[in-house]
Amino acid sequence: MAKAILLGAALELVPILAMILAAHVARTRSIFRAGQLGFLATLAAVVPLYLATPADLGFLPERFARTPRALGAASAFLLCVLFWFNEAQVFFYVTRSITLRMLVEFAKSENGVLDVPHLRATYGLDSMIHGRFEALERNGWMRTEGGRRVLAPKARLAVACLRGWRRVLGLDFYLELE
Amino acid sequence: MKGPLLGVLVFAAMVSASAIGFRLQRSKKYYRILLAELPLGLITFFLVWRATPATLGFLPEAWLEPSPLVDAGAGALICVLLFHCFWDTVYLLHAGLSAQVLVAIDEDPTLDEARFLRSLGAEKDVDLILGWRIPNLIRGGHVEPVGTEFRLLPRGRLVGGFTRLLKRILTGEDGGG
Repeated sequence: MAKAILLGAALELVPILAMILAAHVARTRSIFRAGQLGFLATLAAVVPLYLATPADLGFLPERFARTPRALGAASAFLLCVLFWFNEAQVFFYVTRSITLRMLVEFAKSENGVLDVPHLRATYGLDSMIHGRFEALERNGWMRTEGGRRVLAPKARLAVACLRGWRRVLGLDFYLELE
Repeated sequence: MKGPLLGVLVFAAMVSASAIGFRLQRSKKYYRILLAELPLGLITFFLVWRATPATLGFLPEAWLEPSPLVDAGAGALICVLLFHCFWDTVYLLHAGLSAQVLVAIDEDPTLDEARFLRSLGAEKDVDLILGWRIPNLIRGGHVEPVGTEFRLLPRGRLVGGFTRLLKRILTGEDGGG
C-alpha cells in the first residue's frame, strides 16, 4: 500500500496544476471546476497507472512492495478520492474563509494596522454577502424569478443534507440572525 | 486491508462520539471536542490494530497487506484524512455563511441581499460577523487592539501572508472570499 499512498498523493498534483493553469493561463473564474476536472482525470488514470508501474516504483524497499495488486489498486483509488476531498477543503479555506480573508487584509495594509471602518471598506459585510449570493446564482444553485429566489434541485438537496446532519450531530448555526 | 478498515471504523466511532460531545457541551466551541478526539482516535486505532488478528477473522489472504508498518500507517492516514473532512463539514454546518444563506432562502424565498444584511446587523457599528471574528482573532493571538485600531501580530502576519501567497498561486488574485 506504500505505492498506493505515494501514487495517490502524487496524482493530486494534477488537480492543483489544473487550478493554477485555469487561474493564471486561462484566466477563468471557474477555477474549482478546473480542479474537479483534474481530479476526474486522476481518478480515471489511477488504477491503470497503478497496474502499469513496477511494484516498488523503482525505489521502494522490497518489504513495502509486496502488496497484492487488487488491494493496492483499490487503496490507490480510495486514497486518490480522500486526498482530493482534503485538497478541495484547503482550496476553500484559502479562498472562502472569512477569518483568513481578514488576516489577508491586515497583511496587505500598511504596517498591518486596520480599524473597523477600513476593514469594512476593504472586506465588509456587503461584499461578503453579495459575493455569496452572486456565486450561488453563477454556480447554478439558485435563480431569481419575479423577486423570489428559486433553489435548484441540488441546492434543495444540500439544504436537506445540511438540516439532517445538523440534527444528527446536534449542531447550531453560530450566527443567530436578527 | 485491516488497517484501512479499522481506520474507517475508528473514524465512524469518532463521528458518533462527536455527536454526543457536541450535545453535552454548552458553548459552541466544537473545535475543542474535535481537537481532543483526534489524538484519542489515533491512540484507539493503534490499540485496536495491535490487539486484533491480521485477517480480523474474515479477510481473505489476498486482501492482507504484508507489511504491518504500511498497513497501520495507511489505516491511520485514512482515519486522519476522513477526520479532516469531517471537521471541515462540522464547521460548514455550524459556521458556513453560504450554507446559512441557502437555508435562509429555503425558509423564505423572498429574502434578498439587503434583508439578509440587516439580519446580520449591517447597519450597526459592529455587525455580527465582525463581532464574532475579531474577538476570535484577538484570542488566537493574531491581532491586538490598539485604541480604536487592530494591529497584526507575528502569528497573524505569518498566517495572513501564507494565505495570501497560496491565494495568489491558486487563484491569481488577492480578493474573493
